Amino acid sequence: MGDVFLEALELVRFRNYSRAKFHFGPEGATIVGRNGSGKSNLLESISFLALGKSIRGAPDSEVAMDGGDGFGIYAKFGGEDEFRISVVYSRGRGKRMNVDDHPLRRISELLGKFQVVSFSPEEVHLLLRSPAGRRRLLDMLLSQVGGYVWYWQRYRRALLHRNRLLSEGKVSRRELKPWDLQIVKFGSEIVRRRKEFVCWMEEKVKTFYEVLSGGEDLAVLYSPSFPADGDILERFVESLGESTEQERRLGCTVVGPHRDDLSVRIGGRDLRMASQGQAKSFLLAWKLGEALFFYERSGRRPALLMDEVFSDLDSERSKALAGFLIGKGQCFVTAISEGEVPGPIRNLRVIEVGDGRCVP
Amino acid sequence: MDALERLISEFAKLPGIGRKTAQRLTFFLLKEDGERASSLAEAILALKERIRYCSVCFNITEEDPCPICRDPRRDHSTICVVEESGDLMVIERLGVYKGVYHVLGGVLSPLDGVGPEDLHIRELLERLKEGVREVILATNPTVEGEATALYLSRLIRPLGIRVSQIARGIPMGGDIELADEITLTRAFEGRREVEG
Ligand SMILES: Nc1ncnc2c1ncn2[C@@H]1O[C@H](COP(=O)(O)OP(=O)(O)OP(=O)(O)O)[C@@H](O)[C@H]1O
Ligand SMILES: [Mg+2]
Ligand SMILES: [Zn+2]
Repeated sequence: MGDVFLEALELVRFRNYSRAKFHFGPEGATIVGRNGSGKSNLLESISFLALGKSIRGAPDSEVAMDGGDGFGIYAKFGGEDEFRISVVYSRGRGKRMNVDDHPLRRISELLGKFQVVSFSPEEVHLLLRSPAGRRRLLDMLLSQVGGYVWYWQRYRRALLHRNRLLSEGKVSRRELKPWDLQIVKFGSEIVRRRKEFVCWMEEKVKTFYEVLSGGEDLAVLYSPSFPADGDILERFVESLGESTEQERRLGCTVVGPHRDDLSVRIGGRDLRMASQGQAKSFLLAWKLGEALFFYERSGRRPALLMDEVFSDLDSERSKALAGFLIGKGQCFVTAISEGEVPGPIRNLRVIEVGDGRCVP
Repeated sequence: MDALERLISEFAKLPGIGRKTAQRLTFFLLKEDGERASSLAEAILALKERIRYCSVCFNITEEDPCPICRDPRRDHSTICVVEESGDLMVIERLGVYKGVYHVLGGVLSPLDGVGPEDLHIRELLERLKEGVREVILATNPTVEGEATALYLSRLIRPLGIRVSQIARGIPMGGDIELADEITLTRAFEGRREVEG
């Protein structure tokens, strides 16, 4: 399957854009503008077309222009497949999405039509500095693959019930058992998928990172809360059994995917010790891995939404990164000025934004 | 509070009725002759006076035991366990099930403080002493419904009674009340022994 690309985009009362139109080529664009001019907002609007919601996790009401009644995002796609997507939100009626003129009933119907992999500098802290962040890093992509979210919702619910029982103290094994069985059933599926995914990512991310960093060694390892080899469900049951004492003491469930982590070692040292640039490079390598994952699954390259990717990176790393970004599907990068982006990226069309408009 | 406001606020307490609808209903009754209002009031009172829970299966009924429990043509050795009376009615409408029922009155839900003693589980176990051969668990396929089914099957199986479960055919995230009739009939025919 060939690529599709975002050809035209119109924003209406979206964040600081009261009304703006953009045209893009199949290779993408460099978006330039002062601080606060709307570069990140533009990338965010593109993420709505892939996910139906903000990739930054902002609620729809916050994204609507201040004092306005809602927003509209209208897009036209070209390339291998031609279609239109619109996302329209109004404070009274909520959000409605259309593909061509066909209304979608739920967000999941949108997934897969147009895919994005995004990067923004605040994610370096958000996703790398805590186990919870690293679990989100694991789940971001998996959540876009069939059924994963369903398992998570059920796991979480069963876990909450179980934790409530444990926190109440003297609870019988008999009462706990049905919840044990449920968390094990749903949890082991989550663990199985995470394990498979990291296994797939490991080598790719390592290779990307080595090139980005000019040869530094990287090791990525899934570290589940219990030894997840062989029959995962069995292992989960065993370690749940072994943690009875601890559970009684702490009043909550201590093993399961909600306690998983991703172990990352750069040059033999834990991620905690990594410098800003190293951490950022790792996250970029991971995102490049995600893009490859989409490509291998669907035969289509996702659009890359790269916010401020070059700041904090030395010129060697910037150049290596540019090499990965260019010529691999549509790519959007942001910069304060054109001079800031490394050589190969300069071939992208430059689009200047300011005052909530596209500056011609 | 005046009579008008009192009725509006009573209506507004009902599920699915907002203040606007409550006002509309109230003004409707105000304009009608007295006949309509008194027959509505009577119907509501009759509901509370005449309808009660069956002392055997906890289905809602006007006579105790309920018509199903008293029906000699039904198979009293098979009990289908449901969460609420509404679930029972859905299954009855299919007309494929010939056994009797037991209404739990809810599901296990520690987050809401609902434990086994808050459901009609003890009464179910009592009934099992009287020649019951099969128990069909028809709780909804929610996390809570499944947990309740697992809890029950672990209690009942050691008694040497066959325990099966339906609802496997109900789609992900489904609900007995929403399942269409074909799916549910199929679920009944394809019921399986509970795992776990
Ligand atoms: N709902 C909203 N309504 C109106 N304006 C908004 C809304 N949300 C954000 N803004 C404004 O949009 C402006 C542009 O934000 P954006 O993050 O896109 O800037 P940027 O170009 O990425 O800047 P920087 O270079 O600093 O990252 C901000 O000044 C912000 O106050
Ligand atoms: Mg920005
Ligand atoms: Zn009865």
